[in-house]
Amino acid sequence: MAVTTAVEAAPEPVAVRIRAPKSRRSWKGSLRWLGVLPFAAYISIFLLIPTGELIVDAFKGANNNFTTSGITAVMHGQYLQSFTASIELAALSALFGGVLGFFLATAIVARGAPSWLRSTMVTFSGMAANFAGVPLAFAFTSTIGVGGVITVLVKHFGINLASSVPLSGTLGLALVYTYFQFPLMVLLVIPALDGLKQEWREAAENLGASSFQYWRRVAMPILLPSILGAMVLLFGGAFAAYATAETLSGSTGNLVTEYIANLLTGNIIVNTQISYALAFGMIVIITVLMIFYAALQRRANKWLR
Amino acid sequence: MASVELQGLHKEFGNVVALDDLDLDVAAGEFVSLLGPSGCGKTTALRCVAGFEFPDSGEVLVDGKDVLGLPANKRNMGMVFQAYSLFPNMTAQQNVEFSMKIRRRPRSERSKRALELLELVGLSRQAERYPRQLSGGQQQRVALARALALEPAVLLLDEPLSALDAKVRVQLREEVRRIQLELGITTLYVTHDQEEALSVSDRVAVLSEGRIEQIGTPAEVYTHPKTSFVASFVGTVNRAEVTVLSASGKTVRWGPAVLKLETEAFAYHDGDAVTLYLRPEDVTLGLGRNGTIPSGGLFNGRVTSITFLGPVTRVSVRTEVGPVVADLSSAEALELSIDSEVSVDVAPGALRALAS
Repeated sequence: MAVTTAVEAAPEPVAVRIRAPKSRRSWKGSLRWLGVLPFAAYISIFLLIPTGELIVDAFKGANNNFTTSGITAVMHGQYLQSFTASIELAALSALFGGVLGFFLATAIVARGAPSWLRSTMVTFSGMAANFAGVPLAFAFTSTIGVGGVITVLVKHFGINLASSVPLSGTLGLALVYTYFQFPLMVLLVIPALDGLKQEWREAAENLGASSFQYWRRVAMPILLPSILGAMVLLFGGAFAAYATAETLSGSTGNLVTEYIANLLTGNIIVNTQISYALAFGMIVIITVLMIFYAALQRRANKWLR
Repeated sequence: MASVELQGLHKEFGNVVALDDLDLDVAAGEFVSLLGPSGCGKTTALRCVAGFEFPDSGEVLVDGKDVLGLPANKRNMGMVFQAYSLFPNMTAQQNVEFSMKIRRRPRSERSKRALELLELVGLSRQAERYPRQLSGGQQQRVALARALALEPAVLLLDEPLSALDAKVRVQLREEVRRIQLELGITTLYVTHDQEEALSVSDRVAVLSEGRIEQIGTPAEVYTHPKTSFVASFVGTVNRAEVTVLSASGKTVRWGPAVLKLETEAFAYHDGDAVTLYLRPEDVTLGLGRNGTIPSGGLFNGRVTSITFLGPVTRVSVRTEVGPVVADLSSAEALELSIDSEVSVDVAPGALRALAS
């Protein structure tokens, strides 16, 4: 049996211009950005304008002339050391808080963990992450400070806690900062841990991987950008912190934030230009951190999308 | 190739019985599908075999050896999951190489084997792509290649095609079957899609409430359902409640019609209520000529809906015994329209009677 197929010439395509109907919905949609206007105004008034003013002032001399003398000054001597001390403290506390917070978050989201544990820990972390300043300093002074309860208690066993880890030193301050750093890490890293699919773990197991091999080859590479990103935020928070350190170290403090406060209030000597230059240095460091953070977030979103 | 036996597998989640003393034998090299609705226990059974769930009682034997004591990473089973499960931080090739890397196989061997497997699933050109750069169908192909990398004793597929669109699903299920036949690997395939199960399997096990209702070849399950659940779940079916007129004569009354059933086993008594099952493709419709009422059928009826399904057209007819659905060739159905008066007849031997 013969089979024939009729082939017709395809009609010429006709260009049709379709005009989108004007609707009230699209009109409303175009005005949705107005919702962020109060926030934008707030940020402009209290962040962008002061930042701009501060940057200008950092390069302004006594006669309102342009000068880099302030910037040059803070790149040497005690001011440079204050940056080093602040970076050391921020890095150490981000490391302590980051590691501790990560392991805690992992335990909270682990398969089989009771659901109340998660809600309890998230609530606690929300509170503890904001517990800083004088109350936090008092909490540590009264427990592991020179005359703290635990310091006195362990003295009976021959341990001198106050001299081994002084709270005003870098290690001591890092320990104190860890109190608000690790809950913040918990809050930041839980969404990333939630993004790990159960199928990845099961697939890895099915393919012969042990739990350690799964974490090493699959989970950690996926989580690493999120972990590092969270630790960058912890670093930034600790780097800019002031009240806790000032309460614990008093006039002996050598962090950038403490120098800025002292220079502005005339505690040592009034030198606003140096304080602006120090603040400018902080802005530069925070900006670099934010760029790094944004890059890490992009990377994290790529894996966990 | 390995045989798999599930013996008295029982699993409960709280008060819910997921597996109710399930028994299943899968011969070496066989492709068996576990088919059933959501919550019937098919995935739980598969996960017990894989080592991701542990039954409350029962045994899972692979080549006669109980594997329940082994963790999932020691069972040598390849698994493809319902959700896309490729590691997002690895390329397609790295995903396939993963199990070999874990076993510390030499790099050259890993690479060669991975590329062979990607070739097998038709993705050798996409070896360097990351999962996010692959379509859903391609990701599941890579997952299949990854599952086969260590030449597992058993291949487990947990609804691997359910997230894909219809055309890719059909294409990929045929490829899964081709590869299974090529490698001769024992395969357990979980699906709720009857067409999928019937088209690729050596045998189909229909599950309901944690138990196997029927297991047999696709043709057996489709044409000779043993329970009303199987008859209703596998394929579309017309159901009718009828009365046994004569058990010895195997006759039943369906409305005005008396039907003789051509079945070997007929374990009913006179007056018993039974349910008749009739596939739509076994129903024939006669159209009256020039407005006359058609004759020769079991009963007359009026067409209430016509649904074009491609090669066949599904026609619903309202009759005095209730609605009857018929599948006609689309060419035949062209003569029909809504409200057409038709006679309804059934193919001899097509009726199945099961206890109501």
